[in-house]
Amino acid sequence: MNNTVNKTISLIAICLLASCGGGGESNTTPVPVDENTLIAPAVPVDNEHLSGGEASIKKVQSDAFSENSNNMVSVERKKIFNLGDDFFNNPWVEGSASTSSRDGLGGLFNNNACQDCHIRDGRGHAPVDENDTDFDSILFRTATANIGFEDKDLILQSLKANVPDRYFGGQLQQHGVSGVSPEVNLQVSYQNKVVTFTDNTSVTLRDPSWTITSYNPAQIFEENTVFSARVAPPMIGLGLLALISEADIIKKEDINDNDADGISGKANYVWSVNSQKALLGRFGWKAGQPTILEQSAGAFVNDMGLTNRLHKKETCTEEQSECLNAPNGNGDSVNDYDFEVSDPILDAIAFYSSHLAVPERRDAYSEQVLIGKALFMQAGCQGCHTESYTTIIDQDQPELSEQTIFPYTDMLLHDMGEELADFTPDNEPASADMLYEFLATATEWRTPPLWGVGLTKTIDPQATFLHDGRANTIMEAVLWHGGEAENAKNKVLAFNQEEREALLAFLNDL
Amino acid sequence: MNKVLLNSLLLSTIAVLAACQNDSEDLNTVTHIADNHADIAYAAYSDSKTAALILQETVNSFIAEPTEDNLLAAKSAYKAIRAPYQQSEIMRFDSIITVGANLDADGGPASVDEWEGQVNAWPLDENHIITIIAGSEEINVELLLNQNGADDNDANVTTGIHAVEFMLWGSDLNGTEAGSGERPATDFTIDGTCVDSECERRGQYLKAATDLLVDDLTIMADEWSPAAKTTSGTLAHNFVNSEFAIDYMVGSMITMATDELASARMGSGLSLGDPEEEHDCFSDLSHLAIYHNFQGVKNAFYGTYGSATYSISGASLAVLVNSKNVATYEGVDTALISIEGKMAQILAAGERTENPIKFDQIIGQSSNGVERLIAENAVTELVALDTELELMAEVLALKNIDTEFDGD
Repeated sequence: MNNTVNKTISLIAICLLASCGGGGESNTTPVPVDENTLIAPAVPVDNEHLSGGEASIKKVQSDAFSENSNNMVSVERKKIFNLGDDFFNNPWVEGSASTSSRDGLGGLFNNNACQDCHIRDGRGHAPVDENDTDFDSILFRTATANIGFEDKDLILQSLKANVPDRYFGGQLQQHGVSGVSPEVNLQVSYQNKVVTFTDNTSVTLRDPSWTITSYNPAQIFEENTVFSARVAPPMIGLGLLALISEADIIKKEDINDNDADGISGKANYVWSVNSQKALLGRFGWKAGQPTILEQSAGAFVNDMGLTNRLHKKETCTEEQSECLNAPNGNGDSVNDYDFEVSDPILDAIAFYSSHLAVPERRDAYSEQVLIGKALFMQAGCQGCHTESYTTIIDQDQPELSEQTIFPYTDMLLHDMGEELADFTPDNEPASADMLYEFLATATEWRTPPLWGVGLTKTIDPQATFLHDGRANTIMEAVLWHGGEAENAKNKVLAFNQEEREALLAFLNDL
Repeated sequence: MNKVLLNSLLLSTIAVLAACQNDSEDLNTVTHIADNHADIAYAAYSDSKTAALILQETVNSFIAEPTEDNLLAAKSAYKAIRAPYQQSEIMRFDSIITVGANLDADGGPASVDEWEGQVNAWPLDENHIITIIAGSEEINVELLLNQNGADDNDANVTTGIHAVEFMLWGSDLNGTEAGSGERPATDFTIDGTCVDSECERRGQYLKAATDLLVDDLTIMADEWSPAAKTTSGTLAHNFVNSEFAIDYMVGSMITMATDELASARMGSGLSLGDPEEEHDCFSDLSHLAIYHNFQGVKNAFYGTYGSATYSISGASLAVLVNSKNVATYEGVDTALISIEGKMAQILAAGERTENPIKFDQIIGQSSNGVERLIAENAVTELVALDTELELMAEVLALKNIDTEFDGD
């Protein structure tokens, strides 16, 4: 092929891209610009009110995130779900208690029941102000910057996540069982940050400043330690996200932003303890876990100090003798296993977590909601918040297979800008180059699914948004978007009152 | 807002109003059902409180005179609380009508769910209580409250029914064999012969836990009294005026049947083969506890409650469903009758005087054990009840009520 033809083809491609301008979907017809006219409503998609396909449930109250897949009929499978529910809800007990199936909490822990962070299977929250000691549904990770080439190489090969702080380990636990001191004292204060829309309406955001100090003054953080704040995310629809085909996710990758839309998108590849190889990361704020089972097993050992078949050692570091000497829950059970969470329980928790159903949308086809959806597309939000997929077949998960779902995520990592970045002890943003969790850098976050987001406050009025819970409302969360989402946010800033209301009507309907 | 939107909102408001008028008869029934359910709640809490007051008397007598006979009397009084209290537990799953309602603004409990943690929390790590008794701080209600959930550990339970149970029975060291906790009355002796110098403190602990239990049950009975129904800010007032009252009742039946009985209270132990998964593990009274939890499910459906003091039979979900769809009513009724048969057999096995089989022994039975088969079938039917109850919810057109999602 000669050069001229090649160039012509490229030009055609650019024209085609440009003609999709405004980021609108093919089924969204932009209206001629007229300041007093709203964009035309998006054309409804078949069954888009069933965000989780046939597994969706019809609930609108505070228990709306706690139901099993609606299309689950097998009594035996419901029993496994219920067993998982029991162990998700009820607290774990300190080691050597008579409740042998549920003991072994700690030495160190963030909380002692899954449900106490994932409140009613929903989202956690950041503390309200500097006097609020409620760090029960948020936790902090550590990783050190300025690592050596060897470590960097291992991280780039997805063989290790990062190099944690040497004394504290990869996750900071603010509680210990009796006789074990906690690792840290935690506090947050907020500074107001005012953001103004084009029509001069303003919104006050709260910018967190975290104070993380060692409980034991003799131990201090390494100089290069960087913290990452993580609020407990909602639990719904995870099993469906697990069945989005890898090909569908990878095809949206654009690591070098070759299409020059300002949005790159990068898959995380992470070490699978279960498979002993690198797999696509899907779960966690930085997509640091490949499967629901591994996410659950990791949460058991890191958040609650509960060993299991994938993590047989407590997370105490070598210097933490109190933690190392704490009683464990091994060996006292009627069943034969030498860790604290037995296999039936771990597997039931993973099953439960796979089948928490996504609520149906309430008002998906109303005019205002469809206008809001068109505005969402016009602003380019769907550049990361991908609307829909059809899940693949998994013989073990018939309820979740071949479902048309509307999660609004591309499951990829995006640079969200300095303001949302992981941070140093001085609350300075870490470098955008710093690998924080496998391939995810300090400024990169996995696009969170938006399904159920409108029910957030119904599930728990205290719940807050974004990875560190700084946003009190959905609009605040939108306005914190930076980095690759800067352009989309700027379009929202230009929306007038009516448009903002429509956009929120759409998001609140999800 | 543009005109089209405004018009459609107006139209939908008119439609909703019209629907209300058409269903006014049902709404009337619904109001009566909720009202009757609140009466049942009051009866169950009131009976629990009365039983707790008797427990308090027997505990005081036992501490003053720690004989085996007095210990037996206290245990017997404890046992009498389980029947009404476990029936009241159907009220516990009230987050859908209480979250965000600020019911604690008047100093009372925000919800049954929140209040319940101090009264009936499980699992309980008895080591925490043992440590407190072995310590030197003065034992009183205040200490128990301070130490409840200590170290941010919800299993550090110091208060409530299971704490009293531990004080009266002690740990059950018999595994899946016959026998409950075997704490001797001499653990409380005050004649100078105490083996470990902690006897007096054990007595103080038992008394403090019992006194607090009486106070807590009094608070909850007051929240559901006839007067409370018409007093803003109480749980009863919130419930009878909630447009989700019936959703809550049906949801509670499902939660108690599936999440609690079929799972945490029966299924987990049977699946895992772990005798410590029975909730009344010190006293081996789980058979009594689960039987009455199931009575709570039936009470909610049939609108009935019976005890020595109360005999309630009023407007019910059963009658409402039957008036709308006979087949659905029969589905639920048949399932409840069948489960009742199995739960009654488990109760009888636990209560019979010769060779009783307690729930921890059932957990230990092989897969073809007589009682284990009954219990497993009960669990299967409790899970399947979910389907019948979901059908009932559909017939009653529940879960379609959308109140607060108009925009943001």
